[in-house]
Amino acid sequence: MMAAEHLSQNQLVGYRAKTLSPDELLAVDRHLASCNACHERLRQLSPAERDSSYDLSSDEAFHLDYDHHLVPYVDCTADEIDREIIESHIALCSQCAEDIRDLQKFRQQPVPPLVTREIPRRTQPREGWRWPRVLTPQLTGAVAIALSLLGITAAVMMWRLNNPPQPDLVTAPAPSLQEKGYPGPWTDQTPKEPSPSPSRSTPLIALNDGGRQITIEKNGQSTGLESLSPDLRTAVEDVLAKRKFNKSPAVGNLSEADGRTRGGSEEQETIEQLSPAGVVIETDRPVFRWRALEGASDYVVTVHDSTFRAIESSGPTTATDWTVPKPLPRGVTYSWQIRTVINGKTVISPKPPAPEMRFKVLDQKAFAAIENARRAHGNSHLAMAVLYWKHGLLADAERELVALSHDNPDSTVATELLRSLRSLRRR
Amino acid sequence: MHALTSMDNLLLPFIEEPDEQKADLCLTRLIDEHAAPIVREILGSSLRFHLDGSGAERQTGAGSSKQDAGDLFNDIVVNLISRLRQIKLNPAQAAITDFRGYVAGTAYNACNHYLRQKFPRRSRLKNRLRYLTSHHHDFALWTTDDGLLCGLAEWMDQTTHTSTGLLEKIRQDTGEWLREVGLKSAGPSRAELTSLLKAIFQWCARPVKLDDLVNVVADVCREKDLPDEPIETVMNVAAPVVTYETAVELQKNLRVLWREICQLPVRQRIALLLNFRDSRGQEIISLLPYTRAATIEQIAEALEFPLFEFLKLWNDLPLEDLTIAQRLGATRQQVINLRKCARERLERRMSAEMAKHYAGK
Repeated sequence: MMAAEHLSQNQLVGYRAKTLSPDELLAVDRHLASCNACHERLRQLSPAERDSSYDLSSDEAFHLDYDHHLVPYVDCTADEIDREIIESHIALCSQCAEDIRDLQKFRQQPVPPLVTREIPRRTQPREGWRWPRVLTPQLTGAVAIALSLLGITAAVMMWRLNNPPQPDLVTAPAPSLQEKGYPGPWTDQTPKEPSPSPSRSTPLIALNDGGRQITIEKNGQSTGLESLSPDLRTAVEDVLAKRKFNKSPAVGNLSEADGRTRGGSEEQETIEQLSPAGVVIETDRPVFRWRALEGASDYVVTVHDSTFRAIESSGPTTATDWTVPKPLPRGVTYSWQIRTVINGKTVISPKPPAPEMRFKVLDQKAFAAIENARRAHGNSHLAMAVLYWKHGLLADAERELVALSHDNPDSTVATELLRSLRSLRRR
Repeated sequence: MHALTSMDNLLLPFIEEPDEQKADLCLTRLIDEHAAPIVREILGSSLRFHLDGSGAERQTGAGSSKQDAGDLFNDIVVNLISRLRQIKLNPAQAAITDFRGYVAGTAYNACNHYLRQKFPRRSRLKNRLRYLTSHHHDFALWTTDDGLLCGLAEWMDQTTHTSTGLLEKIRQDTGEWLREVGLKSAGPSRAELTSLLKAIFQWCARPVKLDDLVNVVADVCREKDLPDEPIETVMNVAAPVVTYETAVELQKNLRVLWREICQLPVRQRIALLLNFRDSRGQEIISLLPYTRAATIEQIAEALEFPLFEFLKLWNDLPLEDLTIAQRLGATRQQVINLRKCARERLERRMSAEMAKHYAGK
């Protein structure tokens, strides 16, 4: 459309009302950019207020959140988007920047092993109920035993009253979590009255997960997990029952030290190696990340296989990350070292007594299993978290649990699962 | 009217009232009967706990704390009124589905922000203790109905906790207590805090509320905030609308704004521009081509979108955050935070431009 051919009134109205087709919109937009007359006509169509003001201010100040920003950032588990949010914010907010710096500094401080020693408990009597003063220590013991026996007898009687003998069932129901022997909270719950309709009672655990609801009833029965494979379903139920993640079977001794692949002890400085460290990783082309060391101009990363053979080297790089150029064979445990020179002195990390930086590239079978699960259950944060954890992909598991936590902001179970997984990542 | 269907019923009489005076009465009733009691309760519990419990009160005097609490209450109420008025003007902007929850959230955020400003050392000590109890394998931190509890790892999930009164005994004579438990000194380093926590937990023999622990550790380690200056700006109450006397001024400033937008990281540009509204909820992306600050083609380029894809999208702007989140592979909250970061930076830059603008007049 030539500038000379002015826009019709319909085109201007359509432009303002946002009713033009893409082609027409582009033509009108281009014309308006170069034709003062049409641009002025458009301005006449707009309400006066639109031409005189705008207000960008937000009504609530934004600051970093401890759980969602501070900890993942200092632990280097924040995803790329959160890192961008955090780094943008701390460039402007000195208070949050100081909070981050303080926690980072704290995290970097060494943690000595706790000396096991007997610390005297308080000498004051415990809070709450006290033994009457007339009772001597000997009498106290006797009364305690008598009360215990009375309590046990009363409990047995109550249980019998509330649980009359049941006729044999023709078909046995599927074993519940309780029956499987999981130490869930139901083990110490004896209902005072039998529930007439257990299916309508409030579930013990209810989680929103990828558009579905997962529940665990007081009797240990689960719903919402029917589409999972039996193995995965059992693993998810197990985790929900315990409300925590135990050490991942796939991580093994990746984070334990054995004295190899570490720099000499004479160096005073260390380069903080961020990742990968003590984890299983899904990609076969890992990105190695570290923090810059003051005075260092370039770094060299070396990757060793499980027989301590150097298999890849970055060559000198000024960046603080490096991606291995060729895929590493899967199913192998590797370790990595980084070195630099400061004032003519070589600094190698890790250095004793820090453990070597080991990681394992996920084996092919597990890789394929995860790919399949993503297609089948990709929208279930809980199922994917458990699967990732099972295969040692703890960062991925944490990401899923953060999403689960976002979807269930008031759930203590979601928070506890996230917390326990984070604690695993620190060990 | 979709926004009104999900709006809390409490707000409807105010939002739907066409008469201005009657609407003001509804607003007053909303604040007096529903919001103020919640805000008072939250301020009462949060500030009493921190101001009385942290020992800072002893340093700063009750008067200044009362004054701060009063200021904070007023700031929260002003903020709520401003927000409700915005919603009345443009209910489609964002529905409040649970007004009481919204009030509570606003009050808690304001308290947290206030406490961080007033007691920065305490706040950082709390971060350290949260980090230590959740990352050291001998300790645990868990959530209960009473808030965050911490203690030895084997106590995890217990719900009974040490009373504040008992912990007060440590605070009464910290030197004596340190000798009793065999600690030579205590400080805020990771190693010292690890030993100190172990000693406190063993001495108490049951879990401790995190806030109580912070108060005790602050006393034992002498991590106290200095007597402070009154906090002038507790909350970021809505800034005045930027009004331009002439269209030329607006155009000039929108060009500056556009230049600043182009300096943002691309994800922040997307989060901002695809749901670009001013604080009154009015969409403002169309101001850019109206004022010739940028053409639609240039906006597409800045967003790194294929031109025709963006042209198809233009008529649907502004988009919902969930839709933007799907495009970015992010969560809805991340989109909101990306946009807040973008606005934060733009506000800063544009304020500087405004200052220059008025200085030149």
